Amino acid sequence: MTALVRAELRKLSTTWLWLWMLVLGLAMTGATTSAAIGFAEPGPLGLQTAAGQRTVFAQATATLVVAGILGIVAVTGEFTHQTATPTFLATPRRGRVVVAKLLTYAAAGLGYAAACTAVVVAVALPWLAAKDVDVVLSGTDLARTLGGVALEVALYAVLGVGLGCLMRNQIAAIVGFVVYIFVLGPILSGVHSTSEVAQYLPYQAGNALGRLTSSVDAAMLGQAAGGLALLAWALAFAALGTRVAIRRDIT
Amino acid sequence: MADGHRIEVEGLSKSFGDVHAVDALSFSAEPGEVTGFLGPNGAGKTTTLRMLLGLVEPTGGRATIGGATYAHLDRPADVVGAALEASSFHPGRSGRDHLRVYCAVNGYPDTRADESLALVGLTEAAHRPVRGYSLGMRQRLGLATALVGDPPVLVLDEPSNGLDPAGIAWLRGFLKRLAGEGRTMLVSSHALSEVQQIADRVVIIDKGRLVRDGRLDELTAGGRVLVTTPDAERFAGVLESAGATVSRRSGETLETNGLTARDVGRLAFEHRVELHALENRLDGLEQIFFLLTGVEDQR
Repeated sequence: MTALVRAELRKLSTTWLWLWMLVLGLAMTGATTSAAIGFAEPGPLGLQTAAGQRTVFAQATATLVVAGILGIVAVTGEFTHQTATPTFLATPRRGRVVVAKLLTYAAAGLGYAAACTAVVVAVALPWLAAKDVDVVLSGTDLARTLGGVALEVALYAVLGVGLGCLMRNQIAAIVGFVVYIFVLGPILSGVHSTSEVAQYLPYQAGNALGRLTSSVDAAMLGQAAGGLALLAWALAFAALGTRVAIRRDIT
Repeated sequence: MADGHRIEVEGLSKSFGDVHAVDALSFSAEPGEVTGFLGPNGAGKTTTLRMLLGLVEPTGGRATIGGATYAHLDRPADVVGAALEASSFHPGRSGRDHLRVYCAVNGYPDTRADESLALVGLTEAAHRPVRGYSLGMRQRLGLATALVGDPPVLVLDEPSNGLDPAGIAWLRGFLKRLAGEGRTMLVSSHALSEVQQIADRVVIIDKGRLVRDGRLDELTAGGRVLVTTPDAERFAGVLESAGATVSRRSGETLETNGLTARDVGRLAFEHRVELHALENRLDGLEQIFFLLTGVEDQR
């Protein structure tokens, strides 16, 4: 498995996709962090409140889109470029390739989250200081937020791998993922009648893990439960995808 | 290497719905020999090779390499190298990095990537992204991928596709050299002339079924002979009693199977038959291929 993970890391590092995606992730994080501070309004989520500050420090969560797409491309790219042939020639037990990708992209997601968190801190601390806002979050609270977001981003990369296994069609998988994250997920969580159920779905489970409170009255699991729910989705997609799509004939 | 990795295909079948792409196909390829795997486009060659390599699940029968199915090989790259389509590369990755991925999978040192590139003459292009490679260079990179583990068995699907005449000449020499090292080589082609000069044996399939299978020299012996004589009726009897199958082409022309032109001429002489024409209709494997499959060699 170590060899397979090394091979996956090599695949990732020998094209420029990772760098472009990282630049995109850093830019998105910088933008959302600025927006979270610049457009913050007084109230229950105001900058002075703990909830408001958690939201600011959780902005590396913007990278989850990038991490998810990276995970999707990790699998679907093999079919787009027909590298699935040499990949599965080298490793006929295809499930092992999927596991290697899950591990590799979890690690890559953590790396992306770390880089983006650095941006968040670099933007937020001086800006809050300039606004004379004291950081009310305790060290533990801050660590739970930053760590939660890092895990969230990593699990989104894993979710992307799972989704890629399930769909194999790169465009369909990416479009479906982006539509879910930006449209369906927020709607399902925000609408009162679906909110209860939606807390178990990846979008809101991820928010719980990252301790993001976009709307105070949306139902949300606790941090650990949210993380487990997100992990369960990612692994379920990967397992199902491996069964129904990855094992199909490579012609 | 060369400890006798035989390729054995037994009753291999693959159906896509009602279409029998490969139909109860059996043949073998021996160590130290180049086996040409021939058939017109769409005959089922690629599907057969992909079943042999565990990429396509057979609907019947089995294919083994050294007695084991591909999926049961411990580290396949140590045993089998395969080059299938010539475009299994990420366009943004360099040729060397492509090979380094497979070095990593198999725990080979990166020097194996450089050695493989040198073998196929791609050292100069090693660090360039594959998107700038010509089709011929991609074929070479495919071969290099197959050779990364220096395997005793090589399975190559249409390796000459997209090569220019110089490239084909190079490939021929290269494959001969690899075969000379005692490897089991299974090389598919729809262009017979390309396999004719390197193959020891040929397996010819059409519509997923085995058409002919044997040593090249045996297959090229004993083809058709056309003979024209005013005494056709009597000579047909003579030829038949000598063991040939004879059919009437036209009034004075007979088509015989199973005798060489030399035999036919001798029989005519012995039986005082007046000959107007004696024609050997065997000009290489292509003739056989055409006869067997009814498809002209495509070039």
